[in-house]
Amino acid sequence: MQPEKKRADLLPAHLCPSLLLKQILTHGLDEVVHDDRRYPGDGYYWCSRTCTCVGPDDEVVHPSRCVPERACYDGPQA
Amino acid sequence: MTAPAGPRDGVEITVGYRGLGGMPDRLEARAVEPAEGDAPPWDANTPLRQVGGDHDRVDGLAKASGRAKYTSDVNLPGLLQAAILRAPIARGKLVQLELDAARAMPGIAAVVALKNVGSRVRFVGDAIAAVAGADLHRVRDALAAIRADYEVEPHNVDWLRGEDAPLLDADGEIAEPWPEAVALEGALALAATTHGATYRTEVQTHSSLEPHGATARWQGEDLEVWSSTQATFGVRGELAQALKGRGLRVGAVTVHAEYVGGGFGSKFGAGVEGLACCLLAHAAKAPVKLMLDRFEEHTTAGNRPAALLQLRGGLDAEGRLIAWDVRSYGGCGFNVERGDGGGNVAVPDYYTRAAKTRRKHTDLPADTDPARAMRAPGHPQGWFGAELFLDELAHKAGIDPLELRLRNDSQTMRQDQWRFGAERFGWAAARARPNAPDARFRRGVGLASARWSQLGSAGRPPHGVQCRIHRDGSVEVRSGAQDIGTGLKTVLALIAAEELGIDPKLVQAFTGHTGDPSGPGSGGSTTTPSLSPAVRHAAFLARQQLAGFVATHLGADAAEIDCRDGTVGTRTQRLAWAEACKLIGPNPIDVRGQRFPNYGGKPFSASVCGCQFAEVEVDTWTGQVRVLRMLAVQDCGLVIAKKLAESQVLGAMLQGISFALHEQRIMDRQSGRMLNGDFLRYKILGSADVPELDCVLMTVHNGHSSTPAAGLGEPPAVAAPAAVATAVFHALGEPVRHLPITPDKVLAALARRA
Repeated sequence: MQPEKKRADLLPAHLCPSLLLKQILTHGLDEVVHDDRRYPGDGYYWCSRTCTCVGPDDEVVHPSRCVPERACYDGPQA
Repeated sequence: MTAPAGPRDGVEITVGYRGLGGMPDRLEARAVEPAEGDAPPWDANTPLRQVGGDHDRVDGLAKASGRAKYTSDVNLPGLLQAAILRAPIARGKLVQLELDAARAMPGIAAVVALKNVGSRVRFVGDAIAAVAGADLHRVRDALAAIRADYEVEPHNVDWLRGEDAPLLDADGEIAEPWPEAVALEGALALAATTHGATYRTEVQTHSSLEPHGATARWQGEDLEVWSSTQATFGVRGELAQALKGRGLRVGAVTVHAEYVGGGFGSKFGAGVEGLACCLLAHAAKAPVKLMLDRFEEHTTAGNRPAALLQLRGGLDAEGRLIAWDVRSYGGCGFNVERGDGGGNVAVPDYYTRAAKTRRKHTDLPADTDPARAMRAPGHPQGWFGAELFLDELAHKAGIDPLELRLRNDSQTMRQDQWRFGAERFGWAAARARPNAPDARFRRGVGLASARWSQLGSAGRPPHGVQCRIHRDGSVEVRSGAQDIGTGLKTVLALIAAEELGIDPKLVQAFTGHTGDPSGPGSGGSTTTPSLSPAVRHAAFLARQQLAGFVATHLGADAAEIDCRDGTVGTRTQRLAWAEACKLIGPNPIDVRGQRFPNYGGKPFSASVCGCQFAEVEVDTWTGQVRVLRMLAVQDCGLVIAKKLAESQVLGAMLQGISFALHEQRIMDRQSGRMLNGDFLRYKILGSADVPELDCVLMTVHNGHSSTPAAGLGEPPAVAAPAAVATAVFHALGEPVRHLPITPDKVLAALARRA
């Protein structure tokens, strides 16, 4: 039995606030994840600045990549 | 039904469910601690008059008569039409984009670039630019006048031809050895019966009746958007973020989605079409409508990804699963990042509690548009493979498929459902009925389980619902959340009517306007379980205020006042509802209820479960499969609106049959383009294909909130394709392991058997 994890536990620190995923809109991130996923969503992420899954820098958005080091990062600096 | 308000240290309630068809009740007492001020819990012993009743959809007439206005119906003075220029290549780079010729064309009001020169093109249909004009004819002419040049790169639209894709043999079986797993292989070695096979499903597009799109109007600094969306508040925040460079703030954005023509998971974002619409409206200084056409829907608006699963497993001599090994792959489109692209495949875990197990999944890229969540993401694909695998294993072991489930299913509720469903469906007789060896038409029956591993949102953030009682006796309830066709308006109206003790016809429910209290996005089967306790709380608060007026009028204590059967008062003095409401005065009772967090402790059942049975007839001459009848036995928490809940289940069964027998995206490897991007060649189930459908809903009191509904969007969608596939296996005596089960695959299976 794996220890109980919440979606928020799967988010990298200082994630760009422009990154969107369905679960932010439907559940909130403090709900338990029921499988062994490594990331908080279901694989489809999109950027609220472009409304697509490609960011302003023409790269795919993903929790692992929408971090302060990215040129188009839109959040408070770490 | 009502009870005194206020803090409660603990309330004892009865949770569980009453047995179906003579099955035993499974009820138990439990203490819960409702939040201070929340409505008291409804439990298994609460008599409910409206909730759970067979009411019509409150907006049924509006929908049937055309009075309901969807986004595509919105017409505003000076409205412009718009469309998007799409990339014709599957992979490359945009090297030139000339928009001036289009801008100069008559009737064209605005042209905007959606991709910068130098940007990558990732699939056929990638958005390049958008045009708004007086009508779609002129817009299309202007799109043709845009010069877009591309640097073309080699592409691959076949996800199973990528460099990380597994090798398949001529029979479609994964031809690579399993990675070593000592414990699992030890269990397999001990098994009395073992089996291994590969299963495959194709891309299913969302095919919502109403396409994605928006109508946008700027009025000064304010933006008003009508959007076909599953998340009004999500779209609002997203557009504010996208357009913040124009000084837009979230509070200046209003989103309308009063009616939405279906959404299965692809409509959470504004989409590039929504953003383009707003940009065009801003540039044109006029309202703009931009709705996708069906080809764009099929090719740019997301899909259920293709899947490949390989399973191996073993049964002991008693028919218990002791080994279960699954590796799967998902074909997701271009956006696969670190193996995460939305292609995950879920498989049931309740059969394998006593087995050595292993599970591995890999998402694979292709130069196609990305997968998006679609009704029980990953589940119909995985359940199809797992349940058909179990039937094959049962066949090898000489065990009836139902008996195999009964021996291995660890969920008591589904054990009850299996037994009840088998009796109602006539499983034993239908399973024993032989097909004549030379019969042209062969019949078979199959079954499959379903599970959705959550009851919905646990109430964070705390969404709200507004309730107003007017002096004319009418009641309005308002949620800013969208009703995507599932029946949220009816749910809100019935719960408010129940709490107020009145006829639901007195309640008008409004949804889909961001000026009303916030609600969740409609996904993951969360809307009804999120908002049912909120509307209940709103009506509960409104009732208390009305009780105050009536108590003053009657000279009674407010705590003695209740509302029932269209009357308000004490045990000895009662006013008709209309008379009581006259006491309110010109300003309505106006309260906002909230969704409190779920009660502490585990619910009676933390997941939603069900099972389905199917009977098919296969024409062995043509390979055509026809589903004759299906039965669903479905847990759905507290049933709120029975007719609509049944409708959800029936719709899921039909969508599942369609997935099992018909739907597949066909890509042209050469051009990278979808070859069947319309409803002529992308076959979905039609009315002539609809079988006899039977649905038995099972109310389960989970005791997790005041109004313990569970969502039904996902749960019934899980089992149907697998039930059809197992029935086909029974009819043919040979499995078809690749969906859709088209005539060519059926004939090939018959040839193998021969």
